Amino acid sequence: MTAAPPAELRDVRVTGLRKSFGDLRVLDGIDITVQPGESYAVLGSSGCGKSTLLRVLAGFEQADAGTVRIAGEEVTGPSPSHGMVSQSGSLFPWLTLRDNLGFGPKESGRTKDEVDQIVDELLVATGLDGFAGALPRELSGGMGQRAAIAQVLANRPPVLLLDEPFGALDAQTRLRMHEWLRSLLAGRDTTCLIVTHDVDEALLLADRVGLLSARPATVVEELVVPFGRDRGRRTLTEPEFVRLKAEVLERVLIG
Amino acid sequence: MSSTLTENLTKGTDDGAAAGRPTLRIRRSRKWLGVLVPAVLFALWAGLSGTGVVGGTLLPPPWEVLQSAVEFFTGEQLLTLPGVVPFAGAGPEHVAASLWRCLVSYAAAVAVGLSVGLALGLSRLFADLLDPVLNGLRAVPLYAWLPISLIWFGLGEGAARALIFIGALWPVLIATADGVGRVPSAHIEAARMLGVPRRRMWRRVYLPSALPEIVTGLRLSLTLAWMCVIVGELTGTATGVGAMMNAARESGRIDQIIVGMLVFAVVGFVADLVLRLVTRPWIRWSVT
Repeated sequence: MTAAPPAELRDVRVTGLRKSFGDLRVLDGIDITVQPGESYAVLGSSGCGKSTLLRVLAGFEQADAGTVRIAGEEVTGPSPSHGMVSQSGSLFPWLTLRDNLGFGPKESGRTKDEVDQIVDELLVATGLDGFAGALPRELSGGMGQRAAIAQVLANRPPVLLLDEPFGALDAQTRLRMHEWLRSLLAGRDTTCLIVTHDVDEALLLADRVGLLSARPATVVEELVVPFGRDRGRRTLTEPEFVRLKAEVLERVLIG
Repeated sequence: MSSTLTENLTKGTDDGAAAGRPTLRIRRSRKWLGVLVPAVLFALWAGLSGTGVVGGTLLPPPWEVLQSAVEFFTGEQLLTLPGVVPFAGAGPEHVAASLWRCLVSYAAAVAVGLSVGLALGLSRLFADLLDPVLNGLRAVPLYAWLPISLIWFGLGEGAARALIFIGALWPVLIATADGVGRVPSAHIEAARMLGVPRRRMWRRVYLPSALPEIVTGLRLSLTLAWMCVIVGELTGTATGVGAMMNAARESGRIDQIIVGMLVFAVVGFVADLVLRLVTRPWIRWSVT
């Protein structure tokens, strides 16, 4: 079992990333640096290449050019050190929630007691402690996504990659999930990179937001989100939030 | 009134308190309907036999068949000459012989079918190499294997087991290959991300994900294995329900032939039921 990297190495450095599928150029020189413990949102319209960017970062796709370094190491393939959660989740339908959460730690060679301890802690953190024996199909959408994020966090990854994790949920549930994720990450030093087309999501979850251009995507602008870490449903109606949202929307639409 | 209580977990809430709370739903079982058709057919058969419309040697009345069935299982066994297949009291022995023959060949077919099916589903190269050969071989009717089985394995046990094996092989092999080939890429990617090495992928992801298809294949293979028992036993085995039926044909005892058919139906039904009960926990997750 490998030890978690020191806090100062929990960063993401993307340099000159390019990716094409045949003649279709999708990513065109992406440069992003996410500081250790920071939450960074990549915001762009549908089809601009956000998911491709995250799949390259997660190691599921090879870049044509450029480098991706996560926690100090160059990404050459998928790894528990930079787990990704997608919109559809990654729970195994044949395993109970407890076994799903214990899947990664068990694979990394942890003892049964260690696995149980990690799982119990995550069940409480996700508010799913009453559902340890439930199958994924018995969970609601929001519960399933919480479980999918917990499954990846069970490996204690220095970096968490989220691909529109709450995109399939209704607006109310999504807002509750945003609040839950903020409180979950606040207690950890996990660096988080989220791709989304939802401006609310980006402004509620991220410390900084990178705006992507239309395809071929490149980061056209970065902005610091000027709200404290204690964000929630009330933040949505603050004048500063409303102003910033309108401004970001305008730039995304132009981009 | 026959009714069952089923517990369903509620869905669609996210407060964590209401979701997952078991709710009771009463669902009336209508399984008794399955007995209705055989009962009507039996009554029809009995009625027509009573009026003399049917009957005689070609279709004896049901009470004669019932009498033969009782004799088959509980009658006093008589000493028979070597080569003569006994009937009275020999039921348990014949059923046990057929079942054992079936299970041995079925087990071999499952072992080969699962291994080759997994290999076909996991390896593109293996699939490209073997697909045409296997697709050709499975199109060969079971009866076409009969002459070569008799030459290779001789009359009796060896040929019977070979024929049952061939009949049972294809469903489990194809279902396994198909199920493994259909494993969603999201499961494979999730497993790689969670640190599953390539060598353990088949056990941690492919096999459990493909289990619903594999279980269907196992059930079809068992049914086919049991159906092939009669073909296998026609090659000249000394014991077995098929051997008894073959002897009954030679002596023109249609009542005994029908007893054999009923035994095949009942044992096949029970075997499938047992397999379903055994495999149900494996695929609980896929049952909606």
